[in-house]
Amino acid sequence: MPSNMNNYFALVKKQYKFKLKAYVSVFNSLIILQLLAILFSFNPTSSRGFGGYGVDASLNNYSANISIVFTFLWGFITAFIITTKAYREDDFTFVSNNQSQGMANILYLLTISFIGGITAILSGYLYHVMFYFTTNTSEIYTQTMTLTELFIAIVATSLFILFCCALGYLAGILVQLHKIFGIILPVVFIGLLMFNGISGGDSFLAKTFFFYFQEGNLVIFILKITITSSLLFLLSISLFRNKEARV
Amino acid sequence: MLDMDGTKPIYIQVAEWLENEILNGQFNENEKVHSQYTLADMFNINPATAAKGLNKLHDDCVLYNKRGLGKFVSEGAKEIILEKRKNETLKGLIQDVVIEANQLGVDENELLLMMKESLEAFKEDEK
Amino acid sequence: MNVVEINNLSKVYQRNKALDKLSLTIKTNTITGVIGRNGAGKTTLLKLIAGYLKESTGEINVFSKRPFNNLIVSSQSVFIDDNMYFPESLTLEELLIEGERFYENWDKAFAKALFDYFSFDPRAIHDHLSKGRQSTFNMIFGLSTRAPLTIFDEPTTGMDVSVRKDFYRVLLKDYLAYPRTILLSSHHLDEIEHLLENVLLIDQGRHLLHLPIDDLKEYAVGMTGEKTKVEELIQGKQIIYKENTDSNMMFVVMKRNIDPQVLKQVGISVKPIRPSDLCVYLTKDSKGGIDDALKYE
Repeated sequence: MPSNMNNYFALVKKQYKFKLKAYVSVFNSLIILQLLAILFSFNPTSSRGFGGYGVDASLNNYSANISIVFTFLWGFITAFIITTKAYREDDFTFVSNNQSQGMANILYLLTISFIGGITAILSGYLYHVMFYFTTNTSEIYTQTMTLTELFIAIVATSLFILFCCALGYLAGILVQLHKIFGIILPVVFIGLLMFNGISGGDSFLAKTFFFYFQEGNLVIFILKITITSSLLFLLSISLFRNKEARV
Repeated sequence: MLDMDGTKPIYIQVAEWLENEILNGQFNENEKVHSQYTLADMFNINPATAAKGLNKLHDDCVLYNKRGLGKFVSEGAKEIILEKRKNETLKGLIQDVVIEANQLGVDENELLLMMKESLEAFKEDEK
Repeated sequence: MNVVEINNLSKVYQRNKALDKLSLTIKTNTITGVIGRNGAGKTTLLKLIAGYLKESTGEINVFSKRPFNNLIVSSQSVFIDDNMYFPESLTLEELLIEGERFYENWDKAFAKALFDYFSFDPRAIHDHLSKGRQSTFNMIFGLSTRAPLTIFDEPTTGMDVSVRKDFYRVLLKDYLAYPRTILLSSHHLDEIEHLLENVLLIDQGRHLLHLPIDDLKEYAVGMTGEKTKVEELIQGKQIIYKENTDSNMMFVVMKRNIDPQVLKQVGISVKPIRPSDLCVYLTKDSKGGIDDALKYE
């Protein structure tokens, strides 16, 4: 049924555009979070001091990585929030079913992941500029990136955000299916963290972390992240296929 | 207009309204009457109800159908309406009077006398 | 042609039966009033037809398709109630633009005309409107979609009397110009009966009556008379409602199948029963009325 498929994709596109307009507050929160991250970054991540013969010097390392971490969190929370009733029911006021809604949400999260990725990396530059104007440090040495490196950094960051979105979306769907997951999920997560602390970095959580974050090969990394995210999204959509609206 | 709160079905009221229009000469013989949609708009009623009123007049031979054009006033429609009202309305009213008289113990002669008086009073008024 | 075909449909919420083996059909391009007391199952039925809810057992077809989660049903129908969700970040004007994007029959000029007539501020936010204004906006939205199946569930909540009148007038005029299938639920049958072609009366998840409004007007009669005479008359007959009006008078409602002339002769007065009153009598608990619940000395 090709004409039906065309209708279907046309509808998903309409819903996607609708979400870009309707969920503007998501971008406001991104800007606020990243600015906040920059403020936090004014504390050096490491510091060494030298002294003697009448000269005092200190070497401080600063990093804007906190902005990237905040953006990951933002991705997770945004994905979680758009599964809540208020967001979900908007779609059914217009034309929707559970699948088309899921597809439009994925497209939307993909979009915000890349916007988040770009702004997170560029906020690093903003940070340098602000740092230069607001401190009286005599010398600033920065790690400069080539254009390719910059591109890779943006892609990698965006994919990590997408991964966080996929996790947040699944968590949101589970909580929407049954409130009990609102307790189970945090308990499991904290449990895993504690177990990780006891077992000293050899736990499931640590292994999973290394599996994704320590991947050296860019292509394999992209594959790992996209396949995992796709599976998470697929699971979310299939879990939600019998969800009723306006209950 | 129509009596919405009343208990008389609206389609009967629509039919009666059209009959009155015909009696008043608003619609002449072989002239087209309002469509169900015009009537629905005029009286703020469902068009199916209006259609039912039109169909009642069609069944009573007051209106006839021209296919695709709508309903038209039959020849002799006025006489049909008057005859019908005589048979239905007037007879019903008289029946009510008879029952009431019976309950009040008014006998036949007394009742006929009352009718006569009433008729004469009406004739006086006419003059 | 039928837009809605329902056969033995039940809907159960956590052991609570909202609809119980309901069977009915709704004809294309008719206005049907869905009438019943609060909690009778009206809203559940309408949400099942709109494809929002999933049936528990039985069969439901809308446009010959199972409506739950069906995109064709969703695009061909609109569901309007006093609890609609609209995004808080979009203005009323933007909501109408979105409506136009999603509904293929959307009438922009019609929407604009009503929007201005009811003097809405294009930059207002739906959530910040009063209940009555929200209902008015929802009504404009619902009518503007020109959806082949338009469902209004208690659409006039909070509206002023004059706005309600305007709404019913617009609904009828737009229906005359653009016929479509309309389901309208209300507990004020009096207000809407002139608009309706058919009435569907629901009680406790079952349908009691489904017939043309004109037939409903002639369905039953009310009779008042001496208790002994009335009791003799109704012997062996099914009655809808019975009440002792005082020590030796009795009022009963029953189907119209007795010659009124006969009744008049034995001194029983007969009056027609208005559809809205009939619905009340039909759905009354057998426990008796409010007078029986409260015992004043």
